[in-house]
Amino acid sequence: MIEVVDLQRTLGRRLVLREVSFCVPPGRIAGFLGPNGAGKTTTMRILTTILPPDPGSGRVVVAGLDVREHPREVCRRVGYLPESMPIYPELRVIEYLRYRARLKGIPHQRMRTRIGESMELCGLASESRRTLGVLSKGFRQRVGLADALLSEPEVLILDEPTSGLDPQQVAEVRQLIARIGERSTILLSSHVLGEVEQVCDLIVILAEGTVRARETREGWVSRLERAGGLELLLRDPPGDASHRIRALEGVREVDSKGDRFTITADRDVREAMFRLAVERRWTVLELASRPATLESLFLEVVAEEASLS
Amino acid sequence: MMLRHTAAIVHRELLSLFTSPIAYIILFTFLLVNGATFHYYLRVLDGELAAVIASQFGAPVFWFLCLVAPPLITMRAFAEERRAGTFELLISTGIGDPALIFGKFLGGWIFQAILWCALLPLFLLLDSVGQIDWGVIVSLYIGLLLIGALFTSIGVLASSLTQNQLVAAVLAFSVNLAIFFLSFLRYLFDRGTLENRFFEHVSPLHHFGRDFSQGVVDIQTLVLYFGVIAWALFLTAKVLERRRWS
Repeated sequence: MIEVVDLQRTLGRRLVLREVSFCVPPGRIAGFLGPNGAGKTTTMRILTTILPPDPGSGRVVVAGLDVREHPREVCRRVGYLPESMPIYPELRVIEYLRYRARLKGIPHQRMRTRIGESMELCGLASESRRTLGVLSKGFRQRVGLADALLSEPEVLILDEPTSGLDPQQVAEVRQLIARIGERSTILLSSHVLGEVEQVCDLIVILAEGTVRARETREGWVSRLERAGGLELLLRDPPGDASHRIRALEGVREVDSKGDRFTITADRDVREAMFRLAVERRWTVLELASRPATLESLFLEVVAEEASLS
Repeated sequence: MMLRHTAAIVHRELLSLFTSPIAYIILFTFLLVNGATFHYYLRVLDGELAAVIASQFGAPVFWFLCLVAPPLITMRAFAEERRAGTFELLISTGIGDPALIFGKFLGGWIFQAILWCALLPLFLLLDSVGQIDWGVIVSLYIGLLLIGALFTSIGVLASSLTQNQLVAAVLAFSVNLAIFFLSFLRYLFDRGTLENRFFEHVSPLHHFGRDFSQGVVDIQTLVLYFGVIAWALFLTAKVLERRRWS
């Protein structure tokens, strides 16, 4: 599991993380979202012990261990895939994984098995003799994932694992993450919200160095349901149509462009809308629900932050 | 665990050096230049083997190789890791700074040892045509390995200070050159004065001319070299520690 309580981190003179708190229970996949510069990568670096937190700031527990008190042990229990997988271009895949296995302290007698299993899981078995420098970005990401999996980590930290991949590679890496998620706790940073929606059990949204939202899948699904709306197209709508729609219970906002109305509501107002149209003898050409997406939720949270600041 | 980490780093450093053209360029130049100077001194000194060996290891070209080779070998050590972003991955494994620094240092130093060992066939050849003093050769090699270690530690330190390999190489070469020119500062002072003796004592040129090429290994020289090496590696650790906070 991952537990972060009141984490603070300064880089230079800039406070990049302020009282960041969130928790990822064991065996869950958490989506870590936020605009560029929100502090996601800094948080991930702290979780992997690359960066220390500010002295005296909060508590960071990864796989049951405090990163300040047991950095070495945390490293052994965490697998990390950075945003763009850096490589040693001259090494072969197998040489690289052997090198990493030695650094990670994997016992010699288990090394061959672990490397074999990681390569198998990441679809690299047939690429073991190829040099890293000639691999495509997708294969490099797979090498990075295989490396992260070498020590059978309890926690995996993946920083934009599908960034720069083609759609087929994206689908493959997502499947792989879902498979790995069956046995590890994963913190996954991504700008692709569809990906997060697809594979994550919970989300943490970070903006300007603070946590703006923490939601479980159930939480965000119900929030999205509530945040949905309708698209309505009327023939020759009267001038007070917007006003009357806005008066319906649950309607938050009505945006009209000619004959077309975009209605944002806190609840399902389709039936009420239909009754209103019948009552006012409006000719309805089109009435369709407009479901909210994680993207709209994300933009809403980030926009709140922008307006606050 | 530290030993295992150090061994892994040394292995990769050597693998990386031998899979890049730089190792072969250095090796080729090294053998060509040393072979040519040997040939020259053999002819000029009319086969006086002791004089040939002493001249070979006091020649300007020998010192040029001593000063230039270590920066070229160590320039990638940390600079390239940081430029390519592999440094973060490296420390995310939980490797301690001592193992990392010592591994980088040993990797560069072993490569230099390989360079100097490539000259051994020349000595064997000389021994087959005349009588050479193997005691002198052993003390020379102790000196070569020591001065190689000294310049390697400076190269590792320079490489930790920048992300640019070329800057690291130029920086290390400049420091090596400054150490070399310390030898000449003694001429600014009268013979026998404290300053004169000090600069003589810290002069690598003097250590080779007076000690190593004559079969002498002075314990004071050893302490001086080990001290500077430890100091340079300690500073490297401090630089890496500071980098984690920036």
